[in-house]
Amino acid sequence: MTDPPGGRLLVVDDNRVNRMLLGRILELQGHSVAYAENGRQALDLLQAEPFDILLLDIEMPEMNGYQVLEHITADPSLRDLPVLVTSALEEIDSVVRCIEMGAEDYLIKPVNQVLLKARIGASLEKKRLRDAQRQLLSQLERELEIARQTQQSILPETLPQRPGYDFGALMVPARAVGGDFYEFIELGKGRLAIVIGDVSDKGLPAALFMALTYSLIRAEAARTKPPRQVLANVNRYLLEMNASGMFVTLIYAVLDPASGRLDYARAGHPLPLLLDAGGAPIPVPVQTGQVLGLFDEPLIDEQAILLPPGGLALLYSDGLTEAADEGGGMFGLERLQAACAAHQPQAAQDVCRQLLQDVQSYSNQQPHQDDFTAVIIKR
Amino acid sequence: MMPQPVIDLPAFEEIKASMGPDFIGEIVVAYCAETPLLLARLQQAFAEVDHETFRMIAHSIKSSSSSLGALPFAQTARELEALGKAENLSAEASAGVQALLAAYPFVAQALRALCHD
Repeated sequence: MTDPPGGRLLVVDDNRVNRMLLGRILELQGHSVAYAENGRQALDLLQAEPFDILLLDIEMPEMNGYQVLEHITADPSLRDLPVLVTSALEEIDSVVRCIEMGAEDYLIKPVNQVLLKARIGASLEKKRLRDAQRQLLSQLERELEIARQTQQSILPETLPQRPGYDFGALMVPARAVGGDFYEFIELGKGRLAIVIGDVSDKGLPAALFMALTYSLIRAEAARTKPPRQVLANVNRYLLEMNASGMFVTLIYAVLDPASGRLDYARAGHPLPLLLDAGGAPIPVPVQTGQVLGLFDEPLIDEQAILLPPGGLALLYSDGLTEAADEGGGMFGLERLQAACAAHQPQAAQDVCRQLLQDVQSYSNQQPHQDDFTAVIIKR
Repeated sequence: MMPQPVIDLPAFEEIKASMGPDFIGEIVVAYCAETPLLLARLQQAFAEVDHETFRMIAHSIKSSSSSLGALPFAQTARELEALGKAENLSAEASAGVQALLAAYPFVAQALRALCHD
């Protein structure tokens, strides 16, 4: 087995003879070595170029080994640098302190070459693994950011315009990307399809399933008229393409602006919330509506409701009602209804923002547990 | 009982073999340049009763001397380091400093001679 390639090492010791001795051994073992006479010089060098391992003497003038360790652990760019403390046998208490402060290992002076080789080899291996891990993480973060931007670009950039109507919409994912979505689709003759969906699970798998569902809805909305049929067709394609067992809840609603009538098909999604001009809730008829992506012929809840003049309809994901406070109590439908009524006089987009704020205040800055999506239609 | 040699020969030969004859010469040159300066600073720290500086310089002498196999010399430095740490710069410390000053020429001479063997 051949030795791995050498590392770039920094030897810090105030004693020139010790620096020369240690440096020579390391160079003979195939490493490239830089030197510092005290802690301050070491920190300057560490800021100037990357090193794989720091070999650190404890007793030094100007800035000693403890102070160097303090700086290193406080600096995120240096925190992962392996530090091997070099010390005399009788300084074992100091070594313990250094290891408690974050040093990886220690070497007793005069340094045993075999032990030195083994410890440097082990530290270099760990450092390389950590570097590879960090690189992978940063690549994943870059990819996730691209996914986030792609997902954001899927959502409508502008809100629809209809005389006598005011629309608002907001989606805030719990993670970088989410499984919720909404869409407005122009259907011709002034009619407008309004879609809200929530994929089971969160994160990247949910986002991919969301993108798939979104594309299917767009395609079906363009060629299929009854909302129930749109969802039935989408379900069929999802079943064909869904190997991961994910599912999606959805409302596909069609607004006739002239009458204020909303014809919708609902698949396992929370019921729309309907308020009259005074903010009082209007009961919404309900039948069983099953999720899409699991069943060959899911039951679809198909309804027609009337949005009265001055009224408000809210389509939302369960991230609103199921947002929990510190004790685990949920925001709930009643609180959502009351919040909606309280904000009803405001513009639809402002109502969405206010609802987000209400939910966040209720969860008391707990980490976002689920995607937040709200679509508001005001007449 | 045989007096302990100034330089521990097996230890020095091991270092010499691993460093190479040219490089051990460079190291001995560095040691012989640094140590007199350290001894002078040790004397000064003793005169000024500067415990911390005294301790650190004794530590440094101990460390490099021990690395080159100058074990009795390193042992004296180790004892001085302990006295500095205990803030006890008494007659014992004075005697230790004098012992180092007296021993150093022999240490340097022996190291130079061993380099050329």
